[in-house]
Order: sequence, then structure tokens, then C-alpha cells
Amino acid sequence: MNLKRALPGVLMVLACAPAFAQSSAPSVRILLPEHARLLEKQRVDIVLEVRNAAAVSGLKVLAGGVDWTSKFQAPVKAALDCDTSSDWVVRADLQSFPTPGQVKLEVSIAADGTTVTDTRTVEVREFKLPDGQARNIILFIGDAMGTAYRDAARLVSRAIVDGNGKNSFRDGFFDDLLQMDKMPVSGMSMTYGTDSIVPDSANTGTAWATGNKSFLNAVNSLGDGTDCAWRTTGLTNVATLPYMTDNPRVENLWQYLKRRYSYRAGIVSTAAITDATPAVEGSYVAYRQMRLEIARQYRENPMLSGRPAFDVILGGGADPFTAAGRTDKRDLIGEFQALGYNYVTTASQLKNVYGPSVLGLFKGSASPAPASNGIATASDVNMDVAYDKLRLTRPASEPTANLGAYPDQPMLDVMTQKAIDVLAGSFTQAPFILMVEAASIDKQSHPNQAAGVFWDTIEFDKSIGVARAWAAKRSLKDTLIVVTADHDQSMHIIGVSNTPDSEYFDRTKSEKISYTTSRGDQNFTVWGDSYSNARAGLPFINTSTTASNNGGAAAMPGSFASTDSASDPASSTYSAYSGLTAYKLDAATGYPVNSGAGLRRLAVGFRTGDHTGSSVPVTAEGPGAFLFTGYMDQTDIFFKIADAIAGDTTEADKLLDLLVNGKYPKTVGK
Amino acid sequence: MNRLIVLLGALLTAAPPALLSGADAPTRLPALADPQVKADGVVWLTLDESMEEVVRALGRPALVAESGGGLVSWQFQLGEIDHHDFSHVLVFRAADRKLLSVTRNYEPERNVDALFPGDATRGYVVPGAAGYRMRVRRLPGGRLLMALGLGQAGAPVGQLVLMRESEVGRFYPWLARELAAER
Repeated sequence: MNLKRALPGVLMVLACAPAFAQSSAPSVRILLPEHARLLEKQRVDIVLEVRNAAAVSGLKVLAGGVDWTSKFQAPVKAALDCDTSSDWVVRADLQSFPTPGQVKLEVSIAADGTTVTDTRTVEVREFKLPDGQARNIILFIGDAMGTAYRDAARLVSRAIVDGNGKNSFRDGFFDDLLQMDKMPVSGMSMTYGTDSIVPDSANTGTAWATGNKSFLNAVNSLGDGTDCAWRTTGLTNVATLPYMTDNPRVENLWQYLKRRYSYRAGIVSTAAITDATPAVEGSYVAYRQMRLEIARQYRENPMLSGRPAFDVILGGGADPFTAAGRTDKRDLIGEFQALGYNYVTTASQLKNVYGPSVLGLFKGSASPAPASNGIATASDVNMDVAYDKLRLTRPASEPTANLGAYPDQPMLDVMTQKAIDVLAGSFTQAPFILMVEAASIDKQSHPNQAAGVFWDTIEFDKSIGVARAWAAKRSLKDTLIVVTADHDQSMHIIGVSNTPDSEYFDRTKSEKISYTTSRGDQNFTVWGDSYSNARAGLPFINTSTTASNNGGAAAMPGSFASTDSASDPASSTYSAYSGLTAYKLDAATGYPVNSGAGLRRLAVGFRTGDHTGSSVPVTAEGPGAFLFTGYMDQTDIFFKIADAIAGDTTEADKLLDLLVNGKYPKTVGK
Repeated sequence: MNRLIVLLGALLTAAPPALLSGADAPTRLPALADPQVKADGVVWLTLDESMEEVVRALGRPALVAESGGGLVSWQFQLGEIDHHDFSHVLVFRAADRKLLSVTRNYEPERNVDALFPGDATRGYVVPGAAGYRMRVRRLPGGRLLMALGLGQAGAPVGQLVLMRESEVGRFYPWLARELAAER
């Protein structure tokens, strides 16, 4: 039957057009945001754009009343806004404000004889590391790990039935909560970007890494007038590279601490290690897919005078580090090794490697090659997900595992332990800052692969446990651990299903639902695991309501009664929304298994295959953890970490200790 | 009746086709989603389409972005799903709603040699990018069909661009200079 679409698809609107760009009068603009915040001596490119002027002269720049004019290069002709007007750019790269306070930047320049001005007030926050205070920071990012994702990991990994039939989740209480649940301080983080309420990993990462917001896909870079050439045209390639590499950069905390205080720095991720979340800790590009440049900046960081950004790099995505994968044919792996990095490619090698510097790339493609766009590799391969590394059988609707030539990939908690050991084990006893990312909570959520999502979040929680255990053993409480997400996705908790394994794993049975519109067919498929995973597009019908948009039938995902029982994927399934989850544990791996008689699986639904604009939880433990309470902006995370490192948190830490260990009510399972 | 109710319910709650699970069969693309090689040339969007005509041809965009210079960008997710790039990016001039360019992204990259026959195509070296060439084919109506890559026969590309020749200077000024020098 032909059916017209009843509703349009989800429409997002980006707001990124500066109003001044439409005027033909001369103007000057300082490319810093309205709410620019920096630490003292945090580096930033100060870029001025002058529009609609055939000639410019007489630049004067004051910063807090001090003449900064000489810091600026000569004006250069530029093509701003993709129009035909005559424009100029004036730059002072890698500047910093030495004195805390509200610093007023004042710019004036003659444009065709008319003096034009702009001002911006920058909040410069104090940062002075006290002698003898050397705090470690471990920031855990569960990519897309909004509240429902944490809940799912709890409901799967902490509802374990033992040999006597006793469930560790009874009457709504858990005997043992997640590692991240046990951290004493919680808050919520808003994640909006400058151009969209639904952000991505790049601009959210920019927020916590630099303390400043940016636009979608930006890595520690602010917007400028040449972005029109690529940002919203899709023309992201080597021919538009000049427009993607001229954006003002803001130094991130990893390079700031390394540069000023010789902190050791590390990144660990299950993604390709040049993906956005690790990239914000070590590079400065306007477009996250500039993977070749990101890898190069890990090796030659612009904030560190060309020194490597990190002491420890562990993750997937070897291609941009190989000569074959690069347009410049540089062997970055060889260059890291020449600098003394120990290079490993398997879990077995990782187990035996030692510092002071380690590069671990645990997956790559068989034939690395540059992409046709000249800014990335043809493929950039993430590590396999926990579910597949554990060799668990995927449900019917999810692709089967294929570790290919990489059967020995480490688990995230193993990578985390090694990173901590190497970073903390240097003979200099320098403190360290480490980011650990569980990348595939997000990457599995995009295609709505629930099993992949759950086990990756459980793996992430185990890695948090590794860090907590290490920090707890320190004689000095000197390690702040923060756990958060970059953004949310659309998964939500529906209930519980007891689909038998015979249907849940049966790939031979599925039912395709098609409908035709004037613009083509729309298809979705019901599988035997659909009662546990109501993917975007599948209707799910709640038995508790007869609302008109769900048909009111008492089943989930709907009464797809096939005329051919042989193809019906759910011929004998009974499903309930009530009840408690109940899994069994594989004692050998420490992970729950996803099969077996009596299993009551978590049932979830997805609304879309993409990110959402919901706020995400933040949890913290260690010195300065109290700072992470309440609702905050994602950029606050940067400044809160900075305050925890450099501030005197003694009294607040004691109060927190009293709240946690004193006579106040304790959460069951914590 | 149950099936009809369920299907109607599916419509009301359905996400756009590009957001369905990876396990589902790919949605058939609109006829004008990709250029087609025909006996008399290439058939694709003419760039004279109005916004309403684009909606009829490709559906509604997933994202609308306003950018500097009075441009408006419509971004679509049709067919293959890549959560970093859109399948199609169309740029309009806001003042008169004229369609200026269409960018078609491919993941995985694909061979587009059939669209660039030797006698109708010129290659231009991209400044500062060793080995990279922009293949350019002039199409009727003042349009250019372009593909960037390493210039070897059979090498796949990740992006096709259809652009009004009059607008090339906005985005590829170096190419506009080369084209002007030829005239």
C-alpha cells in the first residue's frame, strides 16, 4: 500500500550566521566568544577579522590596558564569508593572559579611513600550583553514556543470579552498585554547543578540554569567517584545507599542564585513537575528520614546540600513523619509536610493556591508504567492542563479531591499568593527567545494537574500578577521578523481556515490514531480539496505555502476526514490561553472559540513531571532588579540574569524607 | 486490521529512513540522489531546482544550517549511514533561494570514472596538495561536476560536487582562477 509520511523527519537547525556578515560597512571582530574563559597563561590564538575594507592601517590592541599591538602580525588579505567583499585577517598566535581577572581586550583599526573597534572581556582564572601539591587527574568519558546507559549497565551487570538462585538485585535494591555509582559526588552537565543543542564528541570534548565551547566537529578550535567554505558545504578536503587550518586554537588542559608543570599525559580509547574524544586531548583542528593532521599533532604538538603530546597512547586506528596511510608518507610509528616509545599491537605485548613512554595501536586496516579527500585515511578502524572481544554470541539483529587479524585486543580495564602504571611509574614522580574513553557505547548506539552498548558500558565501569582501586591504595589521596559523558543518545529503559535463546539468537527468522511513499520505500525488520531491543523505527506498544499512536495491542513490538509461521521471528515469545532483570555471571571473565535458561534480559528502546541534547551525569571522587555537584555547564568541568589540581581543597575534602563515611544515610549497595 | 494499525503506528513513530538499524535493508534512494550516466550525458540535479522541488526530489533535509555570506545549507542522510558526514549537502543562496551546489558524499568511497570520460574531463592540480587533482567536467547550464582524488584511473572517491561555475570562486578560488585563464 502507498502511504504518505504522516510526519516529517526530525529536522535540526544550526545557528551559525553572524549578523554583521551581512552588512557592507567596514567592521572588525575579535574571534573570541562572548563567554571566553581561560586559565592564566593558557594559550589562545587571538584573531581579528576586518570586513569590507580595501585597506587597513593603524592597528591598536590593548589587553587590560597593556599595549599588545606588537604581538600581532601584519594584516593579511582574506576571503571571508564566501562573498566578494575585501577583507583582512590579523593574528597573534599562541598568546596568553598572565594575570587573573576580567581582562578587557580592545581593538581599533582604520578600515578605509574609518576607525572600527571591537572589545571582548575574557575571564582569566588563577592557576598557581602550590609547591608540593601534585595531583593526578583521570577523566573517564563514556561516549554517549547518558543516564539510561549507566542504568542499563547496572541492570545487566548487577542483577546476577548465583548458583543458589539468589539474585543480587532483589525487591528493587542492588547488593552491589556500579563502580561509578559508588563515587561520592554527582552532578549533571549541560552539553550544548555554539551551533546546536545536539552536539558531537568533538565540540563537547573541546568544552571539557579547553573550557570553551565550539561548533560541531571542532577540535579545540573556534569559528572564523572562512568556515563557510567547508563547514556547511560538505567541501571538507585537501583543497579547502587552508580554511580548516586557520581557525583560532585554544590550548587544552593536557598540553597546558605538560607545558607549564611537566605533567605526564595519556590517552586511552577503544576508538581509533585519532577520533574526536582522544583528539581533543592532543590536537587543534577545525574539523574532526582531519585524521592525518591529528596524528601528526600527537607527534609534533603545536602547544609543546613540536614535542609529542602524550607519554601514553593506547587505542585503535593505526592507519594515520603508518607511511602507507599518509599523504606525506611519514612513518609516525617509527618516529615515536625513535623517540623512545615502546610500541605494542596486542594485549599480550601490552601486558609486558613498560615505560616511560608507550604507543599501543591495537587495530588497523589490512591495507592502509590515504582517503581521496587527502585529509584522512581510507579507513580508520576502531577496536572491537567488549561483547565481541569476550566472544559472546550476538543477538539475531546485530552483526556477528569479526576480529579478523586482530584476535588479541586488550580490554579497556587492562589498557587503563597499564596507562596508569606507565604514567605513574616514571622516575621523576611527576603527576599525570589521563583520559580514558569507552568509545563504542556511542558507536553501538548509533546502529541501535543494544547488546554491544551494554557490555561496553560494563567494560567501562570495570576500568573505572581499576582507577578507583589504584587511587585508594595511594598513601596520599592525590588522584581526582571524574566520570562523565560527552553527550547523550536516545536509548531508554523499557523493562524486561524473557525471550528464549531459541528466538533471541535465531538469524533465520525475521520479518521485513515495508511501506512505500512517493519518495521511495521505507523498510524495517523485526527480529527475535526485538522484544529486548525496540530499535528506532520499530513501534513498541506499552501495555499500560491505549494511546492512539501505539495501537493499544498488548504486545511488544507489536502484533506482527505473520501468515507464515516459519518466518515469524517471535512465534513463542512472551514478554513482560514488569519484573527484574536476572543474568548469570561468567566467573572466568567477570562479565555477565547473555544466554541461558531463565534469563530475563533488559529491554530497551531507541528513538533515533543519533545523539541527543539531554544533559549527562558527572561523578567524581578524590581531592576536589566536591566541586562536581549540581548542574553545570560542560565547560565548567575544565575549570573544576583545574581548581581541584591547584586549589586548597582540604576543608571541603574533609567535609565530603564526613558526609560519605559519617552517620548520614547510605545508599544500599554503595 | 491489526497489521494496518501497527503499520500506521509505525509511520507515526518512524524515524527517517537513514536512522533505522544497521540490520535493516537499505532504503531505496530517490532517483536524483546520484548522477546517472546516460547516452546524452549526465542526468542529475540541474541546480535550477527551487527549494520546494528539492524537497519533492530528495525529501526534507535532516539539518538546515545558515552560514556566512548569505548561504543556507541543507544536509541529508539518504541511504548509507555515516554519523560523521551527511550523504548530501546542498547550498542555497539565501537572498534568492538559488541552489548553488550539491555535495554527494560516499562511504565507502566509490569509482566514478564513468562520470568523467577522458574527452570531457580536465584535471587540475590542487595547490599545496602533492598528487591530488580535481577532475572537472563541464555540464550544460553552467554547471561543473567535480571529484577530488589522487588522479589515478579507477581510484575511488569519497565526494562528488556539482556546482555552478559562477560560484566556484567562493569555495575554490584557485580553481576559479584556472578556469578563468582558460577562457
